[in-house]
Amino acid sequence: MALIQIADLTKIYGEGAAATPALAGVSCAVERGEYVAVMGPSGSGKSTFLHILGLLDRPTSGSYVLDGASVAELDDDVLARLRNERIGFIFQQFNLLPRATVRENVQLPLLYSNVPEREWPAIIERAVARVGLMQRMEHTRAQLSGGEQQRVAIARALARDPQIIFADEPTGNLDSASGRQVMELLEQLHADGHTIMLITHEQATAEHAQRILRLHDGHLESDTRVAQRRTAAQFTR
Amino acid sequence: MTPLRLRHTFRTALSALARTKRRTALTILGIVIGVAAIMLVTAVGQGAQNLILDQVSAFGAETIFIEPGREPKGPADFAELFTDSLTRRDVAALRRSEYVQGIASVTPMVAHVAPVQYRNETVRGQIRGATEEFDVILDVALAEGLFFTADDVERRASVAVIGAEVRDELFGPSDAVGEQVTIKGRPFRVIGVLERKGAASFIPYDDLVVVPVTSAQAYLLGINYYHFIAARAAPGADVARVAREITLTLREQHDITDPEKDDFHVMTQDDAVERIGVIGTALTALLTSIAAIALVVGGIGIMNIMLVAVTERTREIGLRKALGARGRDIRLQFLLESIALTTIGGAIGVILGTSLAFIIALVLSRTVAAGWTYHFPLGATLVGLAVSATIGIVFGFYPASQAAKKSPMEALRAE
Repeated sequence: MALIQIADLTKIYGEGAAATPALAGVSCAVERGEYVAVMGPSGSGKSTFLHILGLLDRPTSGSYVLDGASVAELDDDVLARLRNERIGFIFQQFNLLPRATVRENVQLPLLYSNVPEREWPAIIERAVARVGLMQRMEHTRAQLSGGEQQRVAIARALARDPQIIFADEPTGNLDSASGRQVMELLEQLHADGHTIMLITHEQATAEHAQRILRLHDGHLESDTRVAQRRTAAQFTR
Repeated sequence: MTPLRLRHTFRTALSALARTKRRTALTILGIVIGVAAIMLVTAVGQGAQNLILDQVSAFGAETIFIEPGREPKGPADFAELFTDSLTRRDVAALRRSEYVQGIASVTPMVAHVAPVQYRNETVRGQIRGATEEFDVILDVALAEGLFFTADDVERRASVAVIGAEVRDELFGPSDAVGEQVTIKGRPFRVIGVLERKGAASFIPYDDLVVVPVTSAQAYLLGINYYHFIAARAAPGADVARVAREITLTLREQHDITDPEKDDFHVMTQDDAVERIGVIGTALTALLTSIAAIALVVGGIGIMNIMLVAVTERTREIGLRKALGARGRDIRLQFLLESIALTTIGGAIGVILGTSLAFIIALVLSRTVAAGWTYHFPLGATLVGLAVSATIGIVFGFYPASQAAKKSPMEALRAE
C-alpha cells in the first residue's frame, strides 16, 4: 500500500457566495521513498495541498490515508503526534526561533516528543552534523547566513527521523550556492530512504525529483515521471 | 503520550519575557503595586494593632472600664458614647462590697482638652479629672511634689498634677510645684509633676493635667456625671465575675430590666483586646479589598499584553504546532508565561511592601511611637504570592486558550 493515498480531496475556504475552492478534487498516491515535486503557479492550490498532506489542515471532503490510517478519523492530538514523529517541515522562510541557538532550534521537536531527555544531545548532534553545522551549534539566528539557517531548519526536520519531509520552496530565499547545498541534502535524505515532497514553482527545481505533480486551479493537471533528473550540482536559480 | 517538558516550557516562557524587558516591567507594575499595597496594609495594620494591644495591656488585666452608653456595635452606636448615665451614686454603689465583691478601687474620671496658662505661656492640656487613685490605675509615678488626696477630691480642691511636657512648656527650668496655672479662667495650684513617659504611648502622659474629678466637674465642665469609671479588681479576684457584678449593680441602680436597654457598658482588658482585634481585622479587610482592585486592574493589563504577545508570536505558535505541539502544550506555554509574569510582579511587590513597612516601622518607632514593632507578614507574603500566581492563571487563561486554538496552517502563514 502507498504511503500517501488521497482520493477526491477538496478544500473550500469561506462559505456561501464567498466560498473559494483551493482544491477541487485531487487524487493521487505517493509511494514510500519517492521524491515528488509539486508544481504550480501561485493560487494553484499547492500550498493547501502541502498543508493537508502535512497534517496542518483538514480537507473539506475526500479521503486521505497516511500509512494505512484514515486521517479524517484522527483527533488533533494524534495529528500533532504524527506531525512530530512522521513528518519534517522545511519552510521557505526557515522559521527559526529568533534568539534561540542552533541547538535549541533543533531541540524544538524533541520538546514535544516522548524521547527521554538524556538522549537529546546525541540526537541533536547527529542532526546538526548531518547538515555540517557542528561548529555553529551555539550560534543564534542573527549569526547565521540564510543558507545556514535553512540547513538548521533541515536539521530540525531530521531530529525525529521522519518518514516524510515536506519542503515548501526551500530554495526560494537562497542564492545559488546555498540552494545547491540544500538540494544536495534533500538528495541525500532521499537516498537514505526518506520520502520527499518538494513544493516549488520552478520547473528546473522540480526536475530534481523523480516525479512531478502539476496543480492548476485546484486540479491535478498532470502527473509525470522525470526522464532526466537534475543532480544537486546542476542547481541554478 | 508526550510527557510535560515543564522545565523547558518554563525556560521558554522566561526567555520570552526577557526578550521584551521594558514591556514586561510596565505590565507587571499593576501587580507590583497591588501586592505591595496589601503587604504594607497588613504589616502596618499588624504593627498598629500590636501597639494598641500593648497599651491596653499596660492598664493591667485587673482594670475594668465602665463607659456610658450601650456597647458600640456599629457606627450608629458611637453617638451614644457621651451620655450622662454614670453618676456619683453609681460610684458609691460600686464601692459597697455587698453589691460587688472583690473590687479594690473605683475611680470616676472625666476628660477634657483645654488651654493651660502660666503667665505668658499657654499649652493645650489633656485635662483629666480623677481621684487620688489615678496614679495606681495608670501606673505613673511622680517626679516632683505630691499627688492630690481623697480629701482634695472631697472638697473640690483647685490643685493639679501636670505632665513633664506641660511642665517644660510652661515653666522651663524654673520650679513648677507651688506655682499657679489658669485653666478656663480658674486658678489651680501645681502640687506635683509626673514622671516623663515619652511618646511611647497612646495615652498622652506628658501632656496630662490631672485635677480632682470633682473640681473638673464643677469648675471646668459644669457637669455632674462622669465620662468613664475605672475600677480595679482586687488581686486574685475573678475579673470577669467582678465585671458581671458591676453590670448587675449598675442595672439595678439605673432601674434597667432589659439588658438591651443598658445605658452603660463594662469592658475588661480581654474585651478590649477582642474589640481591637475585630476593628483591626475589619480595617485590614477593607484596605486589602481596595488593594485587591489594583490587582484586578493589574490582571487586566496582563491579559491585554498576553493577547498582544499571542498575536505577535502567531508564527511561532504555527511552527511549534507544525513540529508536534498540541493545543494544550501551547496553552501551557503561554499560561506559564503569564504566571511567571504575575509571580515575578508579586515577588517584587512583596519585597517592596515589606521594605516600606519596615521603613515606616523604623521611622514611627524613632518618632511618635516607640513601642511600634515590625513584624514580617509571613502569612500575607504567602497569600500575596499565591494571589499573584492565581491572577496569572485567571487572566492568562483566555489569551493562552486563544493561542492554543490557532490553526497551525493559518498561524504559519501569518506575517
